Amino acid sequence: MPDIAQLITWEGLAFLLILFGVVVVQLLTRQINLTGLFMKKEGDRSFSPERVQLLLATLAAASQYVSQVLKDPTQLPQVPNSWLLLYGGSHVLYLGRRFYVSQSSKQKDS
Amino acid sequence: MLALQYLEVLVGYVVCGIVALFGLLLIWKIATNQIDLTHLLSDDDGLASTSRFQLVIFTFVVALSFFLVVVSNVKVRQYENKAESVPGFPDVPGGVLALLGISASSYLVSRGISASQNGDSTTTKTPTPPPAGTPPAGTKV
Repeated sequence: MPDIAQLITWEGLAFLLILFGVVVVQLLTRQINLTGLFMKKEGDRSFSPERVQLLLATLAAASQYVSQVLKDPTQLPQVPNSWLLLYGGSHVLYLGRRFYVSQSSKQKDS
Repeated sequence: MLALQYLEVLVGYVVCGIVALFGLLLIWKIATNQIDLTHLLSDDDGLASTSRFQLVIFTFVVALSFFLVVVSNVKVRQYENKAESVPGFPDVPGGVLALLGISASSYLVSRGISASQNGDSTTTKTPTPPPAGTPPAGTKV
């Protein structure tokens, strides 16, 4: 019979991985709605590069963080300031562009 | 004393089993669409939102990392034969809090922009009231 700590470890890992797998499968089979993910919500609803860069920055930061945790799983790793700046900058760009497009479409309407 | 220890282990296994059953039930319901995740990433307008997507990704990443660190600390304690001392939760560094803060506040600001946009569009769509003295529609003059 497995040790209870080992059992909890397997149980937790299995739950998180299966949940992650189910969400990824639903994303790939479009059961989770992805329509307009890279589209401007305001104005002409065209392709939006700032959304793509935000997603790329998110994926890069997430994969970098997970790789650091896997390297040394005894403590949550520190996030370097350069990564914080990069990630924050990406968000500022996305939000700034959204705000600008939103304001200019308001001015066009009025 | 021995009986109490057996009882402790037994209760531990039973609780573990119950939590596993809840987890399986949850995953089964999600997989069979009884828990509908279609609009997990959708905004009020029905279109997928990038800010929601990045928040979901970061929530998964931090949850998985936290779990891995807790499990790893338990293993280290067992290896060092310090099983009787219970390890606390790991410290969350400021950088991780900043990452989560950026992610969540970006989502909130994005929602604010969408809400102001929707509010303005409903305001512009509201019909203007007729000028004073105009008879109501359908009234014979």
